[in-house]
Amino acid sequence: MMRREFGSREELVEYLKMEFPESSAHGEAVSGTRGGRRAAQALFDRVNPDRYARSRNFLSGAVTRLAPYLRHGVLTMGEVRRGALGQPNPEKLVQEYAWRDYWRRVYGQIGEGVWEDREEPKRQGRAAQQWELPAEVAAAETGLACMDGFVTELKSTGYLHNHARMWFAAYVIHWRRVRWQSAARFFLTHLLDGDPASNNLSFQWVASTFGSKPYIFNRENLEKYTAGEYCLGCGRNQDCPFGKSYEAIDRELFR
Amino acid sequence: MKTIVWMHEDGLRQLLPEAPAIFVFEDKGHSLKRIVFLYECLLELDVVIAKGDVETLVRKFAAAHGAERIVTTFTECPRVTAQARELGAEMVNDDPFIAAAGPYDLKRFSRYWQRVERKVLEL
Repeated sequence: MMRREFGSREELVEYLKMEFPESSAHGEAVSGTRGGRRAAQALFDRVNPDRYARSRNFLSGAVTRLAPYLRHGVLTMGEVRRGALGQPNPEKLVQEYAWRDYWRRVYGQIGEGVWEDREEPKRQGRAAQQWELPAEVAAAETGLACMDGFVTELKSTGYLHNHARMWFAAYVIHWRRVRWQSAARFFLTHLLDGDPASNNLSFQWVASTFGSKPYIFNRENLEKYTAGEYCLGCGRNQDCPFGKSYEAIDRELFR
Repeated sequence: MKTIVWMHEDGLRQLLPEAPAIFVFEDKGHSLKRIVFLYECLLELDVVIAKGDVETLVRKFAAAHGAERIVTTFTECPRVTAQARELGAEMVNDDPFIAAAGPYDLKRFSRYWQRVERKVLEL
């Protein structure tokens, strides 16, 4: 039986490092996000569906941060749905919860099939497909302040805003021509909410193997929703691979 | 009938508060931060925490409590589902997103949403 009494969080972490030595292969970072119903409840009490609907695409937006708790059943999908419905303007938030339910239902149908392309990718002009996540991407050394920042945040906190997940997925899959599976595995290792259902199937949505077109973005979009936080001090400000119109990026990536 | 709860990663909550519960860590390649998170969830629950082979340890736990019935939280995860089947554990979907099970057309989110929208938007 494992221990249940600890004097402090540090003591708990030391104990778990000893009990799970293999986990250090992925670093020794511990998230500021605490596990447990109490922490979940505190976030749940602050959920504001109306502000969520208006600001969720911004990295500073009123997102719920409930994913790790929903992922592990600390909170139930039923209770967060009812919680939203008790407040003004719940539709958008409930729809986002529905995405989670949808991914889980697909997972129930296809099981380990979440690791395989659901459909043929659309509009993949250049077929080059690399299976490994490039080392400099995983090490946050691409020189792109946004992507390196996302990787650093993911590894140290186990969290990434959904929009950042999408940008990163699009960068790796479309710009770097890497098969989505390697990036999905990287995310699953580090995300506190890592779930083969929503994680892998969202990667597939970006890749267009579970969707009708590939998801791409440009610098203007990223800059807007991050309030310029990354671009401002980026060493690759002058040769930003995203600094073009959607039409130009589309031509470059898919034709 | 005496019952125990097998708690797994997709259901870190007290399913049957009166029944003894066990959680078993398997080697899943998790990062330390994920393990700390899971462990903190478990420490708030009335559950025995173990490490090793799920089926062996859950069976042993059930025997120690003289329990013939094993109950666990419903999940779509194929691995947990297979382990539950192996253990003869009953899966309970205690508070789902939508009460009616479907089936739904899952080809695209939009089709599923069209079918469930009204139901999930009313209390």
